[in-house]
Amino acid sequence: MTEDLSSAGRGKRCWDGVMLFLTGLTGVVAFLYPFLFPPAVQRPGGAQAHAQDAPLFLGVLLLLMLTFLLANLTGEGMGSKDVAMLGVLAAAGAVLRFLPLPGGASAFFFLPILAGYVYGPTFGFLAGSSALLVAALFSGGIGPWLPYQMFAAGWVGALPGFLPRRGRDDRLELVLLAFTGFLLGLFYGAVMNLWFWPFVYQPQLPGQYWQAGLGVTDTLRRYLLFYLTTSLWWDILRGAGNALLLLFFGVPVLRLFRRYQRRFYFRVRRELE
Amino acid sequence: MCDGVHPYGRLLWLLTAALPALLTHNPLYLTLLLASIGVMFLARRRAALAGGSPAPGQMGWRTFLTLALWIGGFSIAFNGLTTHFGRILLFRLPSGWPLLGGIITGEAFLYGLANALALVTLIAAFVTFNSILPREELLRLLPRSLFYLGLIVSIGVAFVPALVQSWQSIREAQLLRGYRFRRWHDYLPLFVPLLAGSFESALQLAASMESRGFGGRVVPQSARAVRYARLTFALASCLVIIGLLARGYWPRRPLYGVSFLLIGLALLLLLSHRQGRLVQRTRYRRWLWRRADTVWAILAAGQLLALLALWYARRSALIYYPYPPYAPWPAFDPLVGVLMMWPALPALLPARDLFARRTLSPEEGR
Amino acid sequence: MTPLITFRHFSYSYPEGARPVLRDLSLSVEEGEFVLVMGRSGVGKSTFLRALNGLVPHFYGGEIAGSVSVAGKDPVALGTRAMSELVGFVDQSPERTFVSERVEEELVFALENLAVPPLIMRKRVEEVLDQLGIAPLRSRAIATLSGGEKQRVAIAAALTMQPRVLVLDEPTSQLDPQSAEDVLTALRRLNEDLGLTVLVSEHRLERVLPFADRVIAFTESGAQPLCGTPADVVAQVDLLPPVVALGKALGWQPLPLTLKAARRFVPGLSLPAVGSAIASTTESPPLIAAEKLWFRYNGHDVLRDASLRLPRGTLLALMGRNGAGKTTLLKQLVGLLRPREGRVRFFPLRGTTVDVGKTALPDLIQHIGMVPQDPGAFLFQERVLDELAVTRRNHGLPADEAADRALLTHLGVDHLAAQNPRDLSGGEQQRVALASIMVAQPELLLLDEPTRGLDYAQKEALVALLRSLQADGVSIIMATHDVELVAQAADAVALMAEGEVILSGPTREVMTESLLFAPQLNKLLRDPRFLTLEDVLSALPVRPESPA
Repeated sequence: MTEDLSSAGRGKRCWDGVMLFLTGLTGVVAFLYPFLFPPAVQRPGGAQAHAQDAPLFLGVLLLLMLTFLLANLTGEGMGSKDVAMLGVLAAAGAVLRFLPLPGGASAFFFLPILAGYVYGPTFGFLAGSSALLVAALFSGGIGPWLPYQMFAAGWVGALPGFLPRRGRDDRLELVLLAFTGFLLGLFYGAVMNLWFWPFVYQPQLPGQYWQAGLGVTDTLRRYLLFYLTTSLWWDILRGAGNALLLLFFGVPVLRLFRRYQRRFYFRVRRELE
Repeated sequence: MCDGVHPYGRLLWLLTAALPALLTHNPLYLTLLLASIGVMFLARRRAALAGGSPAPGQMGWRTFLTLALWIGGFSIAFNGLTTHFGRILLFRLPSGWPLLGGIITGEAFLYGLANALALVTLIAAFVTFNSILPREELLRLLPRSLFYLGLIVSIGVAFVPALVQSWQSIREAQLLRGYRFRRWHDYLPLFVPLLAGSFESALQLAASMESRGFGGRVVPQSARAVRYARLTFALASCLVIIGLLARGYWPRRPLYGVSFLLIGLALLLLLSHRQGRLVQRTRYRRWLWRRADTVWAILAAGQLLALLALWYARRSALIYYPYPPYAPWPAFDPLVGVLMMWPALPALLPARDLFARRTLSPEEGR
Repeated sequence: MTPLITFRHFSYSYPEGARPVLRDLSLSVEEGEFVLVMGRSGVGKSTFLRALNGLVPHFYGGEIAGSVSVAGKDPVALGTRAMSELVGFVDQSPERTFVSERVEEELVFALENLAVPPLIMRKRVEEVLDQLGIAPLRSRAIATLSGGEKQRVAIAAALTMQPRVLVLDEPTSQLDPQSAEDVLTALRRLNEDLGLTVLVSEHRLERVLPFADRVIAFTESGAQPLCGTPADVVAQVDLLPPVVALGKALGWQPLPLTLKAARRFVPGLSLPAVGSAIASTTESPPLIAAEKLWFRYNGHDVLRDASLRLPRGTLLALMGRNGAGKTTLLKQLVGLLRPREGRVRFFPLRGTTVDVGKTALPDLIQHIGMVPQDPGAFLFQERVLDELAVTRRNHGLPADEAADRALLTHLGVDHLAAQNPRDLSGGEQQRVALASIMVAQPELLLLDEPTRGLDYAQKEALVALLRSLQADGVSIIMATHDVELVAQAADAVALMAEGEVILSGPTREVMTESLLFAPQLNKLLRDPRFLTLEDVLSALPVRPESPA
């Protein structure tokens, strides 16, 4: 029996990990790049020129990377069961997204987190991003934010797949998952803010010359303020919601996931005649 | 068999509406652009209502306004209060306050407003786009290499109504057993049966797909080809990362970074294309490219080319920058203004159903 | 001519199954035959059908031995994908087999997968639309179709690849009689007009037996099935449609499979002359009474002036077409829905009269229990016993495992107490669901479509169960399409049409007055005294020896 839902071999799984890592790294560098290296001003207008094409540039880069990643995580190795399971999970995720929960939390992340934990990072990534796409198709949510959302939701599903698996202690496992869920709630918010951050913030003003270090800390401070005022409180609520959902429902739903993992995995034996 | 503009034409419309919002922050141009997008939105809405069905999956006015006000207000406040630069002095905050301390200027608020307008216009463009392209067509626009993802999503979309229905019937059934919703915990009797039922459905669905030749025509790749593809990908993403870093490290030589970036992206595109060709499948429904499509494509391409030419040759005509040494009030060039009115064009053309939906309502189908 | 399908010494067991479901199975089917596969649930029908296109063993895993061949191809060696152009497969619940939002897209799913050129695709789509009579539905959203329409779309989707064999696993078990009829008619036409080989497993034997060329009857798990012409096989099995059973009991030769064939024998029956057989029953006081209910849903009046009265201690059957308002009326009675106009009054044995529309649901369900359709779907615990405990807790009752076990024993499912409800069969799940409602000891029990998906044996068991509940003093209302079940078990019948109760009264009166809802033997004998096989056999002067 394999750990991953997908019947693909070990090589494919390693490769998926590398790919997730590389695209993730590219994403991180692309996001951080306006923070780390605000362009020096050479001529009037140069600074804002960059500031104003940043959203376009980042959006296109992200879209390309995402397309590529998704194309490679899916593909050849996928069986009908993986596809059907992901489709059904995507539908469930989309329905849960619109389910009202107390405190404005969302049950959306609950399934990708558990799916990633049980079936591995690849499956988790696909579960998260496809659920988000289905939800967007239903709510008219196609927009420049969508690639960011899909990426972030994908990672929310993929990261639990890297958690250590503790077979014995149910309670420890649950606490670990709940804590991860909380962090992932914050993580999602932080990534999502980035889609309109370049609109709100322009890195450099004429007359102020960029100095290494100062620029970075200043920018990071601004982002911190931005994050504090835009979504931190929502994110804490979301994270807490994830944690609570995982604590309350984690055990029975995990058991359900594992039960179906058994039913998806088997061997065909032919008796010798 | 299919009415209205080809989906590519609809994508072009999105470009005519969204690209200007990305290229300029001039509030006058943006206002004009927002207004023309609004004209298109209203025209589509009226047509849809006349057809008897509001567009499914369309964001409502209220949601849009809330979002726009929130994002807009935030952007204005954020820029206004954290950028301490300009001549029009409004007031002064104690310099001890981190980030907020310092002079508060009119220019900063103006620029915040410009940012907000650009953002809201962009959102409006996409909201309208959501209402002119039915989701099944949108799914069909996915590149061939995303065939599996498209299938997953299409299954998801098809499964949602059944899921909502079973959610309701499970809820009723639990009510009949004395279930009461008091705490979070009480979602459990709804969650677990719903998921179990969904997994059971997934198994049946997979069996049905398998029985209908699912995965029939994926050309198997040789181990070598797979290895090359992986290496190419690793190389390409490294190039992109290097390109980004290089652009930051040598800001005075932007060409270095850009060329790395472009090579990396080109490699990715090439790889995607190759992988798309591995999936052999055919399409049943095809939109026919008709004369109206050509007309619209030429119109849209005209605006896009003019904008790009302007961006390349006379960037100052688009840029808005209220801080000194520039004037705080935006410039206005009527010719650029005309380009901003493009998105309203399809709504004003005599053939108003240019963006009609193909989808028949159930009554028509009978 | 070599047979199209051949099984040779085929055995199979599921991965976690201890015993083989199929053992040493050998049989063959000729091209162009219409094959009915019958037998109780869980004896290997589904497994047998799935072996034809390689789903068994490739999809479910497990162990196999022996060989299968379909048109010279070996599904075990080739796998389901390769068999898809030869064998079309349709499952029982159409809701769970769709991958697209719209009918046409669903039809081309397989063709697009197999990269069939667009022009051929267009032609094939038009063909199957006509063959199944679903051309008007072509651009509809699948979610808006009725069950029968969905099933026909599923069949069409399996046919676009022009397979030589069509395999259907209980295609009508989730459908109402009219939709089921549509589907079966379509199958018959496919077989007759196109020469398509059809293998179908089906519980509605009376509808399929007349035109089946061959019957394969599974009697016991792992045993060699009976295989032959309908008349041959029917002579060897029990649990048959009433007409066939009567013919068998009376030794009619050749055994009639249809009403038409049976009519020939009716004059030879020496039944006593028609007298005033219907004894007028004295009306006991009502337990529940719905008075002039109106209810609106989605802009339609689902109930219009519906009135219903249930005398204490009776079992009433609520009948009517799909969409006649049966389920809505039941929900009104239990208080799940509240009427716009009219009222429902409940008269408990102890305590005062309850106005259902004005009482909170938790108080009502102490007295009135309702088992909804597809009851297996709401079980969520790990053990059957826990399900009962949950209901107990919901009702604020103290935990009482001994009482729960006693209840399970009473319902005949005590052996399942420690099992996971999701591992149970449909019939077992239904009983567990019933048990989880009955812990509150309601005086009135409402059942919505309790026979859906059940086979003859399970229905017999249900009748026995209902009778024993009734003996315990529980009054019952069940909404059902199952005419034979009503004839056997119900004391009274209410007919609904367009949201109105158009006729109600003792079963014999109502069922003989309405042609639509008359049981088979009543249609045959046209006599209000004879609704069921028992009625007829007990009325005969000399009881002939049963040949079995």
